[in-house]
Amino acid sequence: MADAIIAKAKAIYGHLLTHEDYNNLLHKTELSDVVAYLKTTFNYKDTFANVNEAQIHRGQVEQLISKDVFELYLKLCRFMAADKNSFCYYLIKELEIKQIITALMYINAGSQEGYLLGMPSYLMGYVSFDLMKLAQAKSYAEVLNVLSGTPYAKVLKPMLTGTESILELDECAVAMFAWYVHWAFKTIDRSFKGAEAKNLKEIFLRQSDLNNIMMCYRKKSLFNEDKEKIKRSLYSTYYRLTPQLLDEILSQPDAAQQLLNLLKKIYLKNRVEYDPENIEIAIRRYNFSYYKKQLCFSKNGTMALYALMALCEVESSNLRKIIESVRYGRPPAETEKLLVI
Amino acid sequence: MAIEKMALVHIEGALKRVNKTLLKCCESKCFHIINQNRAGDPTKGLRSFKSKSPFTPLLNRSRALADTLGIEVKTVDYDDVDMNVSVDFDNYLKSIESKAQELSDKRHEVEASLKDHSEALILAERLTGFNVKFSDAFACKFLKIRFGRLPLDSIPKLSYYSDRDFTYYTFATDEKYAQILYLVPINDAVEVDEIFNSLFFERTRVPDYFYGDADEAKTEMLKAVREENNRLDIIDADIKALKLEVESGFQKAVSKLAALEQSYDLRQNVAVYNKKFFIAGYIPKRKLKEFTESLESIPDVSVAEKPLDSEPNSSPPVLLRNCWLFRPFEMFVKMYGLPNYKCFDPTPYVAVTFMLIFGIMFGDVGQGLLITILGIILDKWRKVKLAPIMQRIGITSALFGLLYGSVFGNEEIIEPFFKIPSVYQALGYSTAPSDIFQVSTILLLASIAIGVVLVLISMAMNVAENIRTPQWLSEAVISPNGIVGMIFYASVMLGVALQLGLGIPMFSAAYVICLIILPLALIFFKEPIISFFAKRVKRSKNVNIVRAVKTYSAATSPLDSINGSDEILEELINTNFVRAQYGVMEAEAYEAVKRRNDKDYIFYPFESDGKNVSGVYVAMVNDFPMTEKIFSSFGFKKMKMPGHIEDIRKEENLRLSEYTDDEEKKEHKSVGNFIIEGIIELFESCLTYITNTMSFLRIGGFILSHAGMMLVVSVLAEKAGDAAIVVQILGNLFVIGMEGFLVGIQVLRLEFYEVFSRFYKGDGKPFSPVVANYSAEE
Repeated sequence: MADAIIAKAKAIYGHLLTHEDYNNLLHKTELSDVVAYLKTTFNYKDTFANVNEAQIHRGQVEQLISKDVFELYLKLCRFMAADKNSFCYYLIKELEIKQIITALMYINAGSQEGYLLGMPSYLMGYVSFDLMKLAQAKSYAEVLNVLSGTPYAKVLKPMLTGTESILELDECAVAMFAWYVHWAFKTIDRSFKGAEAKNLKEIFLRQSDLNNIMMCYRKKSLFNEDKEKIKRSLYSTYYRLTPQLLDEILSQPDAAQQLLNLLKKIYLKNRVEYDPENIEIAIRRYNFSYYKKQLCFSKNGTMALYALMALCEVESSNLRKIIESVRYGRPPAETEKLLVI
Repeated sequence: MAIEKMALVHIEGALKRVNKTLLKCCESKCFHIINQNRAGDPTKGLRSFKSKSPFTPLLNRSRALADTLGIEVKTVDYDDVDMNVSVDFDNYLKSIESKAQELSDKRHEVEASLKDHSEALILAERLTGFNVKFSDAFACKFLKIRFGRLPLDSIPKLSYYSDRDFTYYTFATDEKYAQILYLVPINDAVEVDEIFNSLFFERTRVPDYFYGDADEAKTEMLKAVREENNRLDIIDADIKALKLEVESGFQKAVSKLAALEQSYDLRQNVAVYNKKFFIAGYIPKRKLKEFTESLESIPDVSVAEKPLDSEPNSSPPVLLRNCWLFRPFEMFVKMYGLPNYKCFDPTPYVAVTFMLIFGIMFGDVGQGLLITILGIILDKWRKVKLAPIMQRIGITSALFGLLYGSVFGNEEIIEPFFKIPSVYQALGYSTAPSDIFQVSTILLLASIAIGVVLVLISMAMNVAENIRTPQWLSEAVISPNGIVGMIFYASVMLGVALQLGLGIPMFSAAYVICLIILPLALIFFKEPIISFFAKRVKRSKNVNIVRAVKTYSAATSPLDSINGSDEILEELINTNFVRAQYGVMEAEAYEAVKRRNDKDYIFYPFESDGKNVSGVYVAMVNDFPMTEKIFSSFGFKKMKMPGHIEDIRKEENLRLSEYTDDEEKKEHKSVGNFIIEGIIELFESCLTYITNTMSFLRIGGFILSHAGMMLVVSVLAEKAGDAAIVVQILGNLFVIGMEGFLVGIQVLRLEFYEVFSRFYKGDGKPFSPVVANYSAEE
């Protein structure tokens, strides 16, 4: 089965958008042109079939692209005949966490209708709580009520209970990620052994390291936040970093530069070209090449699935950036710098 | 074996005559032009045309007009068209465009209306089930009604707005959308419209001419669509009438316009010098007189025939010319690649062998004649290129069918050859064989015999083709396909045939040593033998160059004597022995030239300023084109001989003695390597002889397979009772279709792999005469 899923994943990867496609898309000036072009590509011809490109809204295009990725994921999970509790369903957990954090963010901002409009209805029936009720929740207590019976309620309870004013979303995200990593490691240990388990766990450890560096860099360089406050927004798992090392760097006056050097030294090395002004893109490019490598060389079907979905997500993100650029008339050369290709 | 003889012609004339000359070249349909841009060297005062054609916009307009009127424009004879300049064509096109435009505008108007009504019809169909009159719905004073579609993902989200004053109704759903209408109080319309917009509602504007309910609207729209289609038909009839009126004249005018445009494009191949133009090209020799007369009828234009090798960077193109019987088989030769101009045309050989082998493999009188008839029909009806070949192979198939006694698989109507007493007795049978399967061994042996003969003929062709080339020793003599290979192959085959077939002992010691081992040894030692001869040839060639250069040096020494004098250089250039070219190259490139070991030329440096070295290169006439290419790759710029040249020969390292000593460094190969390579190559050659010969077994194989398939058809027909005739017809058609196709492929395979691979290179350049073709491409 592993060989079959790897072959299938590679075949799907072969149909992702090419440099030439991106180049053509970058030079479109209207959303309708972008959609019309996507209709001619292998992966999106069905997604946008029956869609009137002259009338379609940007938000709907983005939703259709995300839905397409999710449907592909479900198809692959069904192909793998995976058990609902297996690690293969990691993406459902990720999306659940993302929906909860987004809903909390809108409640924080006092505009819960905003969540509803962007809510991916296609997740209904797949997530472990009622998405419509989450959209209708107007307070943290109502959110806890919607999540009751799920592990998220237990994780969020300490932060949501009794909170009336602005919620620290970073802390919620950290707690949720910690639970997610715990769940992932547990399910990985149940199904995999040795190098396979190690490689899968490494995904989360890298993700945690990279997120922590990016968080520290952003908060230090843009907002010059207090060290202790920054540390509260960091994930608690470490791989090549250590809490002591980060603590030491954050204490330095040139912490931002040191973080950049650290990122380059332990992850990017000379493999990824990056602009110090935009290290998020650099990290995304690093991840892109890492997952490409995993998809090419891994013998583990689950790893191939994870890598393919990560690459599909990169493509969705690129398309969102192109659509945004078309909407705001950003020059193609500038948009190209934001793409991960 | 005919390759059309070509003549190289140079056309010169006054610049103002260039268009007319090019048009004549196009009209001749037999002039293969050579691009003279390389001659556009500013140092020689030559330049090329760069202006844009005035006919291009006219041709584009004519294409648009042809599209509008539906005229299929093809190249026709335009002798009676008296338009010559762009203004004439412009006026002519305007006269048609004015009428066509009016009809086209009307058509577009009706099409737009038809599109609107068709879309409205689709809308009415979507709204099926809406049984309230649209006029009543839109007449509501306090309610707004909206029609459109909502993504299915947005439908659940509507429950979030259950406290708002609106209601919606779903008519239909597909995979992604729900067709809905919603009703909203007029005061809340703005807010609710906003909600629906944010849920990606795509509103459909219901036309104001929808009065009744959805069904009535649909009926109305169907009627409107019908009426507009009728109007379209009337306009199309008017367009057709205009087309009939102008078609003939338009085609002639556009053909001439295309010819003028194309001849104008050909100006890029023309060199210009001092208000004179210069064109070079090839023409079939038999048409030279007619062509010359045609061009020289233009004032101030002259045509001169030149030796074929006087264009250094161009070789004559190839035009095959065969009799009607062999001509269709040119297709196979072209498929493999045209022969070189200096080689012979293998088409007759291919034609004869193809017809013969196909006939042997697919021998049946009835089926063969049917293939011929099919070929005639396809040729007349669809002009299929394969059809003339089908006609010919069908006849050979029928002839061999007579021999096999097979008529649509029936072997009782005509007596097969193997049932004739004298034949079967000669073949060693005491009684007549009952069917062809009993003579299968004879058939297979005969197939091999055919193969041996064909392979030997192919080898002989290789010898004939290469014997006069500089590679005669390596290609025509000591080669697996050369004389040595032929001796070996023929001796082995003859020995095996006589010893095994007739019991004559053939493989005596002398026979084996002289005719088998010696040829193999020669092939094994081919490389050192060729190398030995090449050295001798090279030395004599270099001695010739050295003699020429010494003569040249003596004539021009001291160099002061040639300063400013082009005559001596011209003299040298025009000699039949060697040619020379003066020019300049970078000092670095000059060093690289000096380092080259494989020189068939001499470079004589005259002047150096540290960065550039000027001088002259001299080479044998035959090697001169190659030398030109070598120097061109080193960035050598050709120049006229300057007035002042200083003799710096004494300072140069380049010595004539280098050429006489011939100290070429050869790639060193160890004895071990030589033996291993030799053995492998020898083994490969022997293996090729065997596989090539065995490959011809398929000839016999297909005879038996054909007989086998027809036997199956007969058995099935016998069992079919009353439907026997139907089974016979279907079976025969199936065999013709499938086996005929397979046999054709197999014969072609034999031609390409076993025959062509032994002698044919297919590196010729096709003859492409300049013609004025109307093309719809932009």
